[in-house]
Amino acid sequence: MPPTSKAASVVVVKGARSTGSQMLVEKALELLGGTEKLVPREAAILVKPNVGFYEKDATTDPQLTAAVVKALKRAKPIRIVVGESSVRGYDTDHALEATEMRSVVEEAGAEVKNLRKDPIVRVEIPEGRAITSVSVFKTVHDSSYIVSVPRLKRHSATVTTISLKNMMGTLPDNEKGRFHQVDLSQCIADLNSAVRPNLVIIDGTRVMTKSGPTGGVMVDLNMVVASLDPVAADVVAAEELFKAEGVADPRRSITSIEHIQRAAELGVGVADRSKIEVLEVTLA
Amino acid sequence: MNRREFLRVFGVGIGVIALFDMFPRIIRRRNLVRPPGSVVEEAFNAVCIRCARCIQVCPTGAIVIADMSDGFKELGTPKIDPLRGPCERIQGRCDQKAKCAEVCPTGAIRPIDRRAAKTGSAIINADRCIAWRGGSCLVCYEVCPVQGAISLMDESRPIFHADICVGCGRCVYACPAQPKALTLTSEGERRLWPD
Amino acid sequence: MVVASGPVLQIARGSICTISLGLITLTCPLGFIQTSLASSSIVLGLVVPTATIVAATILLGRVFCGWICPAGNVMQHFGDVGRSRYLPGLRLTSFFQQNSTRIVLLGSTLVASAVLRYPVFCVVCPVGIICRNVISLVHYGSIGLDLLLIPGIVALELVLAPWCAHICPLGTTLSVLSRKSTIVPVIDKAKCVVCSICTKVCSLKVSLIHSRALEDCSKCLECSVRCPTNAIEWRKRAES
Repeated sequence: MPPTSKAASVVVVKGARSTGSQMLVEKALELLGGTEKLVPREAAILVKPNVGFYEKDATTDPQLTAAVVKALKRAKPIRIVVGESSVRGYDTDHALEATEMRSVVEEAGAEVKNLRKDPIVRVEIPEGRAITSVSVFKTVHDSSYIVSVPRLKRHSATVTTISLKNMMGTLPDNEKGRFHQVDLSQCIADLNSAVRPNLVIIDGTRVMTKSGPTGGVMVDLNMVVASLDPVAADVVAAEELFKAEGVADPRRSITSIEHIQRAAELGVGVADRSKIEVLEVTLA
Repeated sequence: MNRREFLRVFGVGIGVIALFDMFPRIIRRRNLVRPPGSVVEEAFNAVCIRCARCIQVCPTGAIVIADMSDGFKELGTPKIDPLRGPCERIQGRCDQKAKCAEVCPTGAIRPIDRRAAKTGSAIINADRCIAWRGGSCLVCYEVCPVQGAISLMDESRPIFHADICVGCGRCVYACPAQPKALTLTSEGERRLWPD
Repeated sequence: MVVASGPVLQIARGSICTISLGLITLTCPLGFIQTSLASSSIVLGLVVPTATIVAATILLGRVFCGWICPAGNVMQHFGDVGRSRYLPGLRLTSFFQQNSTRIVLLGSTLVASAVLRYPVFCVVCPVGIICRNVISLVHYGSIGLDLLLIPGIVALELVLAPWCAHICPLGTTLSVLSRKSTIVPVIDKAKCVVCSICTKVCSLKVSLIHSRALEDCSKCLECSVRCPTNAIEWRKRAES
């Protein structure tokens, strides 16, 4: 990436349906500098896709996740774990199977983990405003490099669910419940201030518009949005989502997304669009 | 034995059973939610042999054994408890075949079109609901597998439509409020008639 | 102990009421009769599984009691030991020793099932209670208050009569079917020293010395194993 005076950089790679997620992911990572440069040596990597539900529309594309895994392997980490704890009421093992995430990722050579079976560790959130500590699964705590790989979707309670909301999959059920009881948006921001994704690769191949996180209108955008800044990535991705819906003023709509704004206030990343550098590339 | 002894044994036996039978009805106010494809309650209690096979086979753990407080007549029979797990017959671990109906040896639970099955309805206690009290939560709306069973007022508060709800209990299981803002009742259930 | 361990080890599906091991399904005959009476119909799905037990019982006697039922023997053992240890002076009323009493008890449960429209004995059956609680414990970690009926039945048994031999309605049903069972224990008079150990150890209270109540024999083989002179043989019932 060329040097920039802006506070954050986000890459947007678009293609045709025939382009395929592998090419989109590879291009995005190349533009960010390449995994060998981004990922520290001997990292314990956690790839966190969205496998919250049983439906493929509502979850991250397994092929895209596999492409991320393959790219991360070039950084020669100690291990790569693809982990998830599904939405309360959905069985994670069944979700991993029904979406084919487990079979596709295991074939790509990473370990797939149902985080719900993990022991639980308490993590302090020194900057937290709604909560000052949170329980997460041990694998999450033991990982030195976290890659959030969400699917770009609308959400009934938080307007959008992208890389910041995706981090809720690292929480045990009762903790997820607590977030709703206390203040969902602030808790998401607080969580990300302590358990921050190092790299964000947003699955915009098929996005969920109008309503979500299930039952919305699927639109093929054949896009990947990537960044080292989860807040900036969410802002840019949300803008793309609103544009696809035909919303009148996409950038203004983003100011209504509370958890993104609160995360910026805590310093998790940059939400001010004028301070975000976007590099957009379209593959033929 | 003589007639007196006979009548004594018989009478005491029937008396004890009738007593057991009456007592829990005074306590229990709601009917039980039965597995999908169950026959009408009268026939269910008559024909269920209390073998607990459906409990063993339910992949989500939604079916549990009714206990003393559910009534003596119902004791030992299966019921759905959404606090233990949702019934995933619409979408999930049971969507190929309703496993409970498969293993029931007496026909108390029968295989039927899972989409047509209605085991009851979810009802909301707005005093306990996080969204209705001004907080940010729509988990019930997010997890509901049936379009239109839950709609939103002002895009933030859930309204439940019993006529569309199929009673799977997923919303009840997922509700993060403490105590739970949702209950599953047998309201509007569709049962089969044994021939 | 198949029925108790089956659901725990996941090798068998079901409980004493109805159990499947591979393709073979067996059903408690009393359960079949009660549910059929309660629903005023023949419960078709149970016909073949019941017929298997019925056939085995007609041929071999109360093998169900001897080899499949996990609770009966255990409960009766508590009763026998409890009686000899804590109530040594107790003389059990002969009321329950009479065959007609247990027939009436069986009849009562059948009439109750028909009238009240549910299988009454299934609810209180101690074996059924234990099986269902094992299943609920294994599957979702809780047990029910119906377990309290077990010590209740044992206490009843202490003062009334041995469960398997004189009270259990399922046992009574099987005894009725066993009247003409083909295999019976026979004492070789030449070897017998009339020590009566066979009668003492029999959990079904068969008085072998007097050739009484042979239809109650569960083929548990205890008598022949414990006989000091090996005088007991298992033979086809002689036509007479």
